[in-house]
Amino acid sequence: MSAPTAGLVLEGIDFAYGGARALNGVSLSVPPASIVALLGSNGAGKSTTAKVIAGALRPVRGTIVFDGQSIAGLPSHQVMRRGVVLVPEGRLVFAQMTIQDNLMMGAYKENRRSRVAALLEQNYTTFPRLKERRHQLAGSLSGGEQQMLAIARGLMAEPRLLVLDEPSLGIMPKLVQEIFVLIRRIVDNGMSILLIEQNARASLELAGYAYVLEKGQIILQGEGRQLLADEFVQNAYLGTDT
Amino acid sequence: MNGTLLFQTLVDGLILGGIFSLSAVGFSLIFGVLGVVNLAHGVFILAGAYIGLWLKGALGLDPLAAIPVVFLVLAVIGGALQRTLVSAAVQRGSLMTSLLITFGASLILRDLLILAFGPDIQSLSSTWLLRTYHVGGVVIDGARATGLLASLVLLAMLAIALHAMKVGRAIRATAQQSFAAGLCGVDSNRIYTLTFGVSAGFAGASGIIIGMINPFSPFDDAYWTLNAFVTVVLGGVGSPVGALLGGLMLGEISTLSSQYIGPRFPNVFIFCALLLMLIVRPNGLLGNAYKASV
Ligand SMILES: Nc1ncnc2c1ncn2[C@@H]1O[C@H](COP(=O)(O)OP(=O)(O)OP(=O)(O)O)[C@@H](O)[C@H]1O
Ligand SMILES: [Mg+2]
Repeated sequence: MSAPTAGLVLEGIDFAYGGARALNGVSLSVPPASIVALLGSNGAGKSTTAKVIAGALRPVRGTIVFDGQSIAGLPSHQVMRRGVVLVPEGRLVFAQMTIQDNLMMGAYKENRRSRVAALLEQNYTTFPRLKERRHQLAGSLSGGEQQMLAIARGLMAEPRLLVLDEPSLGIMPKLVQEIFVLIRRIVDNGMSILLIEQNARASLELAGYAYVLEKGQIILQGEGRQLLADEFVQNAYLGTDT
Repeated sequence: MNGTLLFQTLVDGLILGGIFSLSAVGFSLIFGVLGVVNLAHGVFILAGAYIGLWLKGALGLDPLAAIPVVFLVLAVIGGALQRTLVSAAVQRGSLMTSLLITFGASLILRDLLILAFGPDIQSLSSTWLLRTYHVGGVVIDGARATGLLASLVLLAMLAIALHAMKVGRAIRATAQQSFAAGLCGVDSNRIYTLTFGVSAGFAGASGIIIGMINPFSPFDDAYWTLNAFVTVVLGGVGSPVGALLGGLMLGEISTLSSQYIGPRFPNVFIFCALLLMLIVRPNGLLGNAYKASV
């Protein structure tokens, strides 16, 4: 192995739910300050990969290294302290808590009140809609607004790597655009992003590098633009959306 | 109808209700956050009363002053029970398994109480608690007035902790979405242990107040567990305010029906109220504090 590399590196990750194999030797890397896309059809193992990275699932085999330190096998509440934060599929906001309480949960690891206040202010500037409704229950937000909240909650943790699991699922195109613009801006601030998406065209345009996962295996990888032009990708993932 | 008698009955119901509320809030919190029905709840309450009795006998500590000590002792017992048996039961078996485990724990703890203190009926009264006060025809004794006040203060403290403190926010978040709470950096196992401990602490504190007002014996535990259950069904799961509403309803139904219909009937009316609530609002008056109502 070479000297400690910055960013996230997965090597040879196997995972199974009970007896059912879900990941089979998955290797991928996300360099600092970059956007990497992970594509694949339903049931390919994208969310499983995200959960393994975030520590919610323990890999059977393989290594996960972030900024030179192994994070494989750590529980999720410790992985996030190392700077890897997952915005989970399906948003999973705290529905019976206010928007502000949701955001403050995002900054749970931060003990300095002044820092929490600054982070709140920062995220309210990014998401003015959340500020207007900060004392409302998160459950009363629309699906798209809940997705915004989930992303903002993730950003409150000041991640160095943000894993976004299908942030545009079930959201109208205009809002999806907003989310993608936001992702662009996050990366400009030095964070890196692992973007799991069904919206293949938009994410390939955004991503510097992309992986295609099928049946638990990486079957294709390359630069975003390159995959956009790939015949297989066009047939399998770009056919329906334009 | 006699107005003073009615007023007296209502006041008695309020006092009884305050006690029911406090004695149920831990049960409610454990169910709301862990999803566990803690059948050892009644024994926690009695253990509180007996530890208060011991502190009074051995150290001459006034029951009211014993509340913080009893709270701590029961918090440790409750936390330890969760960390060892309950978490293992939930992880390896199911929530159903935890029912058996807590039932088993209640039997063991009750036998320990009998071993340590004997099976006899005891009481925790203090001389200053026996004094009675007349307020416009209504009679209240010191024990009851103190009990109601202490119950309300403790419930308010819990409500504030849950809503204004960081740890309270983490408890509520874990109750709603333990997976997402973990992603936010919360160690849910610690939250479960803490919740179980705090709940046991509140049960113990309520045991002191119950002991100041009524005689108690080691065999009362099922009664208190059942009352907690009813209180939660009436008021709603997981919040101090729900416990307060449920407890007050239970208290008023008990005193009004035994005063005006006959002392043997409260259970009938409580059962009817339960049925009615299950039909009209199956999640209790306030619903579940952590899940959207169905
Ligand atoms: N909790 C679970 N228990 C058992 N099997 C599971 C579980 N979660 C996922 N699986 C299975 O693992 C495989 C991969 O699922 P995963 O959720 O990672 O897919 P995905 O790529 O995220 O799909 P989608 O695009 O639909 O979100 C699927 O076959 C799925 O049925
Ligand atoms: Mg998925």
